[in-house]
Amino acid sequence: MYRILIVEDEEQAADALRTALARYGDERGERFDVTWAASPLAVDEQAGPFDLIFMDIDMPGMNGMEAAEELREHNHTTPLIFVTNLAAYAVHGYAVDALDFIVKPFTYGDFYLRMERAMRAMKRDEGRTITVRPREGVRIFRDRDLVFVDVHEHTMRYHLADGETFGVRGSLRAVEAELGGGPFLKISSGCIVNMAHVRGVRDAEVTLSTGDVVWISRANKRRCLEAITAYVGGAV
Amino acid sequence: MGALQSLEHPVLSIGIAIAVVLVEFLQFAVPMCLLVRKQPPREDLTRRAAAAIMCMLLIDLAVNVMVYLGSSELQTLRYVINFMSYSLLMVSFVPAILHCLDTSVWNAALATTAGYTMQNLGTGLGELTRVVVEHAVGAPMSDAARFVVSSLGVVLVVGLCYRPFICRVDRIGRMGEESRSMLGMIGLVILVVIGYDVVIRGLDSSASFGFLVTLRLVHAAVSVFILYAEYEMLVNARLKSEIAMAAQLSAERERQYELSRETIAAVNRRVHDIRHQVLRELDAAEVDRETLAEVARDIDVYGAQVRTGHDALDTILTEKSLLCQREGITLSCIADGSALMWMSAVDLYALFGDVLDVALDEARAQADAELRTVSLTLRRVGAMAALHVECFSAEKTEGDVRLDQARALVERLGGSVVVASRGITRSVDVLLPASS
Repeated sequence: MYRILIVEDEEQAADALRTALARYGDERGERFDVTWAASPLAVDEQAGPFDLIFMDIDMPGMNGMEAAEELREHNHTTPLIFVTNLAAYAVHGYAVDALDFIVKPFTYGDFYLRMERAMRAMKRDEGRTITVRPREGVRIFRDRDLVFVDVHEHTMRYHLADGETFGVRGSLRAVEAELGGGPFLKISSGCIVNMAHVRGVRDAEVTLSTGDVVWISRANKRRCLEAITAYVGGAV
Repeated sequence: MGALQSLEHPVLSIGIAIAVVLVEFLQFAVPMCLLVRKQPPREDLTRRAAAAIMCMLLIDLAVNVMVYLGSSELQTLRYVINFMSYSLLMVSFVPAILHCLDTSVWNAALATTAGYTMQNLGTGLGELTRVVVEHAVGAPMSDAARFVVSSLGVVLVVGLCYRPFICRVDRIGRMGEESRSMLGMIGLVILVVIGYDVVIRGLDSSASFGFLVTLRLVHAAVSVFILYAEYEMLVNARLKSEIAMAAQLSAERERQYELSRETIAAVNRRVHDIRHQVLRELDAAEVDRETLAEVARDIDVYGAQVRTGHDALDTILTEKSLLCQREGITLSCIADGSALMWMSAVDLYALFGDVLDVALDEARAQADAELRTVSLTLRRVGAMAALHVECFSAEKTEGDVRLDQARALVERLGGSVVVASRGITRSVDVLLPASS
């Protein structure tokens, strides 16, 4: 079940989205809980948090772009799709990290293509918790908080987004099996990175969100670059 | 034992002869291949490359036989034979490269002449070493040692040239078709590098040590100069095409401005009419839905203007948006032009043109008009620029030449391209550095 918010002042347009969502849900076997708000100020916070937001840009009172800016101040990740009459306004959607936009009036094809992308983003964001047992006790954290794991003298070192590091005895192979794909990519015999934290790739050098730099081994280079490209671009 | 030895000897020497010919072939082929490795391959590369390598080996063998037969001739004739043979060998690499790769004849000529010059510089340095060693030791070097030294010379030169020459040539990429000065370069390399080398080899037994060393040093200097001149030529050719592209772009931009101006003027006139019409409708106290739908269509043209903060990107996206509008394809663009500010207009225009054209062709091929929709996003993620283009895809399309071109361009700039098909949709992802 995914919770979806539609912010749209015209009831007709909101209904069109509801209909498209219902059809998509039937076709793809997904269930959606849709909440409609006629203006950004009328959003029922009780119904949230939301997994996906459709936002009209051209609304009286507060426009969708401003509303999105406000949203991003405290929520960086929820996928956002603009719905607009004027495509020209939406070109700058990157500023609020909008996933895409749909021009009204839209066809089901227009909707489907962007919804597919939103589904990939939502599935990616679902997240899970990882449990690790270092000597000083059990550590539980969300997978999105793990930036990378590297090996230092037979110790697997977990590096978290807040800068915390702790070590566990074991093997990288076992860690790789435990993390099991998703955003995690083994880039060399001594390092696994979370692709959601990759901020730069130059040649074989990977810069992570924490500023740490790790290297892709030569044999893995092409495969890893492609995996990062697909992940960052949103193809997976 | 005696019988065995006499049997073994010819087999061994034929084996060695073949090995020598192969290694000599590699001395030419490796630097040439390094110089064209970033050029887009033609379809069926493996088959083509195998055929080209076979042909070149045969030519190389023929050249070796000619040189061998020529060695018993008079000195002048020997010069002519060697000179012609090596020139033939070098020039025939050009069609071989063109057979395998989708590149311009000028790029192939550059790779051939520069590769040949590197090989010659290497063996020349090997010869210089030999002359010096022989002078110091006072005894001639064995053929085997001589061969090893000249091969090492080539390895050394290719190694030394890798970063300052080969990598730079890669980065500059393809030459335009108008680079005719390359023809002169081929002539120069044939005359100076090959001719000079043949003459020095001929003088070997008769000339004094000092004279030989001087000749070899001059040969090396000329070779280095030729490599430098070729690099400069490539840079110039590239600049020329950048200028031509810039001129085309500015013409394009002018057209775009003209278009915006006309569109806005037309829309303003229409809006003026609409205002009167709306007032009349209000007077009549009923709103006609048809009229409103017409109004909505009229202001659609505003949607075709794309402003991303990057001139070349604006131009290509506006152009494609207008095209889409005409053909009934929905194109949504979210684009942060600042992420690709460092990219040259030529490269950017080519990259977006190729990737979008492939997606638009896919959209046109859709029988159901509802599925003619394309989404493009370009965003900045840390120090990376991520381009994502997604559309419906009718069938499992085979690799498109335009995507190969885009891939070659992106990889030259240090990025990567991934094409992903999933069910009825398909996406192309490009990851590039966000600064050069």
